[in-house]
Amino acid sequence: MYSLNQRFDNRDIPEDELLTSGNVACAGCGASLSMRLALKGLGKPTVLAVPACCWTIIPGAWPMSIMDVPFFHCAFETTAATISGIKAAYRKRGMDDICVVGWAGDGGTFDIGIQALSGTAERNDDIIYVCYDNEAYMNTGIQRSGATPIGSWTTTTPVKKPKSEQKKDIDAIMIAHKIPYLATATAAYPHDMIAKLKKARSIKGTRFIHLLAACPTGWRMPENLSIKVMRLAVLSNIFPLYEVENGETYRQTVLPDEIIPIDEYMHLQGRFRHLTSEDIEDYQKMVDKRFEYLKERFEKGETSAAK
Amino acid sequence: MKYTEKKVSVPLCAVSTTPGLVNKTGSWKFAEPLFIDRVSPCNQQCPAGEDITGYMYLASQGRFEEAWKLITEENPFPAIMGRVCFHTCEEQCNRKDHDEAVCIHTVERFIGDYGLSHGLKIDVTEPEKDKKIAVVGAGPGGLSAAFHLRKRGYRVTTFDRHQKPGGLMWYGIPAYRLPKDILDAEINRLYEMGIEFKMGVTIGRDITWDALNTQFDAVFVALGAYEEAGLSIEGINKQGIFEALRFLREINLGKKPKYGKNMAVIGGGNSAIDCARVCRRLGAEATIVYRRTENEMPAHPEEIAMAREEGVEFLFLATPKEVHGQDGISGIKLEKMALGEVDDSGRRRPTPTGETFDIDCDGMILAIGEGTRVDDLPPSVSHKKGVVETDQMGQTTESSLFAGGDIIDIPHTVTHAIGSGKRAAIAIDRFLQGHKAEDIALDQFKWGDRGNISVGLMKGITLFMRRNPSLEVIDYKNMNPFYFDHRPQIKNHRIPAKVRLKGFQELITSPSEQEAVSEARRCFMCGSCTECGNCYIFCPDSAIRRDPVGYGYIPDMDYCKGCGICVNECPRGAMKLKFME
Repeated sequence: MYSLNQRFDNRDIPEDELLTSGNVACAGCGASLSMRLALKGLGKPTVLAVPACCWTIIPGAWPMSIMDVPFFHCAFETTAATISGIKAAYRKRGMDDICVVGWAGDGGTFDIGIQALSGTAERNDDIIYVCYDNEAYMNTGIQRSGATPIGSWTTTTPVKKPKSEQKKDIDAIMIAHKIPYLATATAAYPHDMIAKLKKARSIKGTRFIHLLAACPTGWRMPENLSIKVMRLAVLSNIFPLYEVENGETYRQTVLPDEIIPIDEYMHLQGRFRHLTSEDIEDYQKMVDKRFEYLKERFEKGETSAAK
Repeated sequence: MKYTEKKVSVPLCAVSTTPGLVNKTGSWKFAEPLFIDRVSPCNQQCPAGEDITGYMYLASQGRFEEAWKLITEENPFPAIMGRVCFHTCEEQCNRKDHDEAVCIHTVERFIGDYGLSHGLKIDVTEPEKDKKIAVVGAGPGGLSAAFHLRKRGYRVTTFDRHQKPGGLMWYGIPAYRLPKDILDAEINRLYEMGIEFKMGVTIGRDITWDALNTQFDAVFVALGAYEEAGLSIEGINKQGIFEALRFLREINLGKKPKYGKNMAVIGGGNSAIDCARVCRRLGAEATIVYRRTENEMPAHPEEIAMAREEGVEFLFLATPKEVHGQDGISGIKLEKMALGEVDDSGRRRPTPTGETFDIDCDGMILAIGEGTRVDDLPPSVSHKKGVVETDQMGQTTESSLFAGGDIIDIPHTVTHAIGSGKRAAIAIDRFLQGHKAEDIALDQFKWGDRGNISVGLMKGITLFMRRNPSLEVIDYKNMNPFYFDHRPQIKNHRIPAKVRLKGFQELITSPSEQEAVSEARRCFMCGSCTECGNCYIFCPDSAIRRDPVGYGYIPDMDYCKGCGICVNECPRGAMKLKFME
């Protein structure tokens, strides 16, 4: 890989693969790519625990598996508790260097698994929790979740009555737990994502990674647009990429050259097609307001880092 | 509590035992990604058919010798090209829609100079052939044909009525644009290749066309356009009035024509600009008188801007009516013009207004166009209005006679002449081997529908790897420019206008190696795989793998689900999604 004249140096991307081809995800799946890139960042030895979510089925039905790392299927609400336990067991056996990772969808994190996650974060157990957020219960048929954005279509929030509640701010919830490391990332920025997972691995305590993972099936868009849509989410400030250390020091890791209107992100997706231009204007205000909130903290983070 | 191991006969939980590779998910797809190299718009635009993308790629890695070899596959004179070509490639550059076009000519110039300073030579690797070819006219067209024929192993003799080979590159282009030592050094390589030069010989007078035809197996004719258009107005025969090419020739030969102190240059083409700028360097004032406006001037905008920097005045919408003066010229009566309807050339036609005015001057240069003289050619060669009739490859109505340069129907530039010489060399090669000169099979070796033929593509082995080359030209909207950052174009170093006017010193100085590499790195390399790895990185199915034997990547069709992400994320449009039947 040369990347002679490109913005990013692709030589930084490890060529090791910790999973093989043959996954049974839909074509263009953002979640399956997220796992592949995340494992490039995490490396070995790593153990994964996965609750009910798309990734339960992506590695293949039993007895098949594409994974080259241990991959433990657990119950829906228990991801964080399971990885806390696995980590405790390894520590007891003197195998503390093994990185234990919980890998859950947005349903298993924002809604069903939040109690266990909160408990783990409160105890500051030495684990990495990755939430790949495709903004609905995609595996079971696109039902709305706490992560579904307001105004979005899902099978349980039809076009006539789209979701009327805000997306739950899981990052703020986790930051409030004062965990040592939190980061948002997306596979559209693989260099940023891999760097964050490497950094997370080097830190002790509870680390939370929030990944935006496009779902062409549930977002109602052509599968070749997965990366583009994730990129536009970052460029429009809908999903800013940043990291927070100890619940205090915020740092924006990817600064878009130019902020694009959210319309460019939304019009590619069928789940937002019913929104009127007034709705999108309101949406834009909401996104701007949310980014202002973060921006204050990014600026504060820069000044404290300068000291 | 002590941990005790307990033997159990059933597993504690279900454990996977089979690799996921048994899932041949490739069977799901209804579209498949293909790696195809498309043609960059600069390659299509280049009249000489150079592989610009290819040499930019090599130069961006500092591989200048290979870059030089790649250029000289198509064009014998990289150092000349980088100086005098009007680089229309840069007008087509996809990067102009991103920030600014790549400064292609500066990189080419660096590569050309690198070749000269490192003494790079052209190897004639083809076995010697016993067929003999005559090239009539040692201008850029003739030299290009001689070069390409000699490279194919033919015995080539070049005739020219002038004393020095180079044609208008020697006698027309002033030294501040193309220093004579650069020109001589580049032409010297042709002598070293074993091309025979017979200078000072006029075909039709010293040797008859019939004699030429019997002595040689094929003839290439590129006589150039030396006939100057005159003006039939009162007083045109007074002293101090020159024709542009005669004026430039005398200057280029180091002679001093009796020019005035206040020169009027009539015309709006590049020769008019050259004459005016030469006058400024000789210490005279120069005013360009043109019958249309600046927008309609055929001269290159950059040349016009530099002429302005050097103090050349412009008088638009005026045409000479009468020359004043006793023996020598002392002034011109001009008629005011107005712009009328759009004519065949797409420019607005100047129409007389009847209003006249006078200007003072003590010298005048007529640069109102050059014509060809093809009446002396054998009668079997058909021509119309001074333009020799040829097919696309340059074959005339006399099958063993080929033509190129200004006497055929192409724009009158050095680069077009070089391109026509190359085409004719390919055609002569085919003709002598008993093939038809013009053939549809040659289309696959063209840079796109409008591009010239590429010797590199014909050979199939190029220094820059091209896989599955297609004729499709890639445009900006079919690329993914997100992956390219924004960086301004390198600016040529020009010596200050005051220094320029002191003599004929070259006005643009060569870029440094670092600058050349940095500018080459701005090239998108549109349509060509550079092994950047985006397709590999973004594949959700890990189905893009490095080609184990060759160059680049290949999709693993057993697992590729045909999502098309790789095609979308390819920065340079070197991939295509093909829907399956």
